[in-house]
Amino acid sequence: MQTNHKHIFYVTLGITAGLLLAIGGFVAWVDPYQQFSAHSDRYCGNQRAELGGVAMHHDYNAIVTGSSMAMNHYPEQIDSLFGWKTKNFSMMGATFDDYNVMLPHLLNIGKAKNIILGLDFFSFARERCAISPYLYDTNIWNNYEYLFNYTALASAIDVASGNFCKEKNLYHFCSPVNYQALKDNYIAHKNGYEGENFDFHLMKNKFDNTLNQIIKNSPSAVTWYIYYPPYSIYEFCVYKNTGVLEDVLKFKSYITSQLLSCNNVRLYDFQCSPWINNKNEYMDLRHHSHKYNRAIIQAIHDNQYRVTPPSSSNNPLSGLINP
Amino acid sequence: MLDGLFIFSLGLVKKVLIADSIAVFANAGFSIETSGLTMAEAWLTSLAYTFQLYFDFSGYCDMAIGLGKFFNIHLPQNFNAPYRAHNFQEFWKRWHMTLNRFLTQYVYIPLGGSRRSETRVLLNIMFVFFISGFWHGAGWTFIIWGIFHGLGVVTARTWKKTGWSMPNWIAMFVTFVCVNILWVLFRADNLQRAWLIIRSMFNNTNLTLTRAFTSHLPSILPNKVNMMIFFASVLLALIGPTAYKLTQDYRNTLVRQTLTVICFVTSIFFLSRIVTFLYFNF
Repeated sequence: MQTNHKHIFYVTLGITAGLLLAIGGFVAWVDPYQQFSAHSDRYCGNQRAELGGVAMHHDYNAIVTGSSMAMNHYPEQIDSLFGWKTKNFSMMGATFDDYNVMLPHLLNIGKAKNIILGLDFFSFARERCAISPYLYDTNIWNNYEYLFNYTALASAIDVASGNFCKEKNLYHFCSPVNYQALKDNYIAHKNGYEGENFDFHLMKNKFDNTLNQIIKNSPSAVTWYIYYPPYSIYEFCVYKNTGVLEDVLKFKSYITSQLLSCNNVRLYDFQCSPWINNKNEYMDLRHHSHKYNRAIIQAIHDNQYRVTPPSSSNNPLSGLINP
Repeated sequence: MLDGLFIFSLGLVKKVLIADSIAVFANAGFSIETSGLTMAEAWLTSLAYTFQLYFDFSGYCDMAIGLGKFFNIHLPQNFNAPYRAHNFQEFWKRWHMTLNRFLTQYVYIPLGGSRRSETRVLLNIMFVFFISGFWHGAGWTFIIWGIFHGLGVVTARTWKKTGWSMPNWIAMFVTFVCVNILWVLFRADNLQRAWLIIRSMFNNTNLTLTRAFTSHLPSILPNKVNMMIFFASVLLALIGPTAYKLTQDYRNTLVRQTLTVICFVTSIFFLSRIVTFLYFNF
């Protein structure tokens, strides 16, 4: 190889390496997913990307988590009722796989002593997972995946240019709450949801291999407040229309029996509440109004709708099969 | 060595940026199970896979050629703008050229090659493509894909003998559409699935993308950007220069060095991805 070509070869590689280091350094400096330090008033809004970092660097002793229904819980309400310091770790459309990455990370960090979890059946009926495990560990050797990453770079540019949100209104799921919205959503989904398989054995396996083990192996100092969200009555109509109601109820009975066997679990069932019949408090079949989020926290605090072992042997949804 | 670095960086971009971005459309179409696709979805699925496969495979080959050049090993060209072929015979002279040469030398010629009667030659061609299908995968989809390609080559050979001609652009279009349809067989999990997609390409006129389809598009980039990359890739494959050609004519210029650096940096940032979660039930 000619000396000149050799020189250009190394210069090209050198410039490439220099550019990579500069851009990676910029991502590290902005730290959009809070992997290196806490930024209390600067969230990029990508839940699955930044909650791992938030868990590591923020100050809290309680968390509320679940899917989009749980996103609308207000940490300040929880703090004032229970006297905790709460963070919301909910993820839109959370699946069993998301829990399997996030919850062990949270338990390893050990800050959360109280966990409020909105448990959705569909979390075990889906396959998709969009969480990046390297953002949910303390291993510094895989940080290159974060630093040399297009999505992180785009988020870093957004954050650096002032395009970020504050925690107050972070992650809230807002949509019009009225009967029409509920009706329209029922018409759209009356024949089922794309990408969800409510087969009992499939859901049971996913639950047993993930959340069930995580909860059973969690330290006794951690108290779980787990609740079944108050889906609208029409959600159960969809289950019935699509022939999966039996599977869903069987699965619910199974997880109820499993959770009640744990001493550090308190279980609440809001699907038995009269709320589910109020057609004017829903954004769609599953998403209730923010008013119900406040009511859920208040009810947990007041120990209402608590499921205890004797009542769990009765099928809590038996009255809903023919709504 | 500089040309090696250049073609390696082009291969990396072809694989990481182009093929992986287009793949979201193909994956969406091939993963929908409960319902059929609209005409637009079926064509988008098959076309996306057609270009994904090309940029993926040829990207890897370009990287291998580039690595070879670092050690003064000159690997042969494996792709030469295959979607510009005017018939199936030409397609196989441009697609996976090394495999084509291998099958010609070790299967076709030992069978008698072109020295036998015309019927025997056509049977030899069919046998070579049956083997080619089997070589690509042990499944009926691959075997049938191979047989159809064999029929395509046989048709091209027979057509040539008739002396009929066809405008180049029509020949290219017909070849491309046939190759595109046959790639569905190559990618589908089973014949039933392949038939469902191929049927959807022709038996309805629905030109919309349904929620069922778009809900399967979780991607590192917004779908509009993926679509732009898709269109760019179509142009690149059909009228752009090939990486191999660019390397053959390689002259060291500032523009090429800058392009090499940009290709490397862009590709490395696309290697790690955080898939954006799309809430798909709304």
